[in-house]
Amino acid sequence: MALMRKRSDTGPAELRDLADEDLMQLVRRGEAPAFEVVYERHSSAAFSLAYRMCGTRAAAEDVVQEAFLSLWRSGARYDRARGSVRTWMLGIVHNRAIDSLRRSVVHDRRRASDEGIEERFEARERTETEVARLDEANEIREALETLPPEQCRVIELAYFGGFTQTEIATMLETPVGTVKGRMRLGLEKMRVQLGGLREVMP
Amino acid sequence: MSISGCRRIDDAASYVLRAMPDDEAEAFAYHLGDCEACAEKVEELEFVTDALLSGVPQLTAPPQIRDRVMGTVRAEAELLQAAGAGADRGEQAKSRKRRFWLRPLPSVAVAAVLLALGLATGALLSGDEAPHHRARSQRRAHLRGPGPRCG
Repeated sequence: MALMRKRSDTGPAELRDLADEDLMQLVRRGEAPAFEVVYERHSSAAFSLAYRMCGTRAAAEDVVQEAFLSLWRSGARYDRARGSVRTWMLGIVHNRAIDSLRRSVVHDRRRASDEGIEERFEARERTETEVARLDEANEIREALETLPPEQCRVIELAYFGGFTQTEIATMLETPVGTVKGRMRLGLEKMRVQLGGLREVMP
Repeated sequence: MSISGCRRIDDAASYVLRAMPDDEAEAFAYHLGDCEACAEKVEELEFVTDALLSGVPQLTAPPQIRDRVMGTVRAEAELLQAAGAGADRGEQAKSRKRRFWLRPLPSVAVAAVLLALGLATGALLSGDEAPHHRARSQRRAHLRGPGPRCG
């Protein structure tokens, strides 16, 4: 079994065949090559999320860097029973991005700055897994975007904008209770729509 | 899905979207221990928020992030290796608590160097972010327009 071998026996090609959860066991032992494979697999998803939230390339880069270093240093805390490495990692990115948004105004410029970046970063060959992930991402976005606008908006502002329920209520001039109700209805509808969704494996 | 009601069921959505202030989120987390309806709702809705993490336009990470991250990671891995930290780092942390007096020097040395690296990284990151520090009320005014993708 690969995990029982000594450090030098696990070459780069062999590492790439391992599942994320097995790689994380090597990461816990401080093995940089295993971490590099995890980074290769998920850095683009991490950057995509960070960029979606922060709205500038510089802020997104900082968030991704912080998140992966945190993942490297806290790998021991990963518990496979609580979900995939990918979701855990994206959760760390999300937390970091929210922290960054809540202590800055960097996302104020998102509306003006995010046009065109997709084309700049997106064009390149994709693997089969990446194509499947792209389809998955599109399906999830579609589920969000086809919600009634008032439900989509509150989810968007909270989850990707980092605003609190009170801030959203003020912004939309709507009672906090109504904001929370819209959040729940929107998420419940998405839950039904995404019922058949299964996470794409690496 | 639970059919039993709880007047706080809408809070489950705000909670999983991280839209609650920290103190309220803490109180709600405590409530989850007592309320099956809300706990079930949180679990149901977390499926959606987990999916949303991947539901964004997919871009390619700029290569310079990899260089910075892997540069730090390799340096720290070498330090750990040099200190004889081949064992699981979680286990190592536990054993340090039990037997810290057996090998105090490597632990202290690694901690010192990691701290220095951490401080250097922190300085770098805070340096990038410092110009953006402003009052939270300021950012509100900029986001009154319609959402870019909703409806």
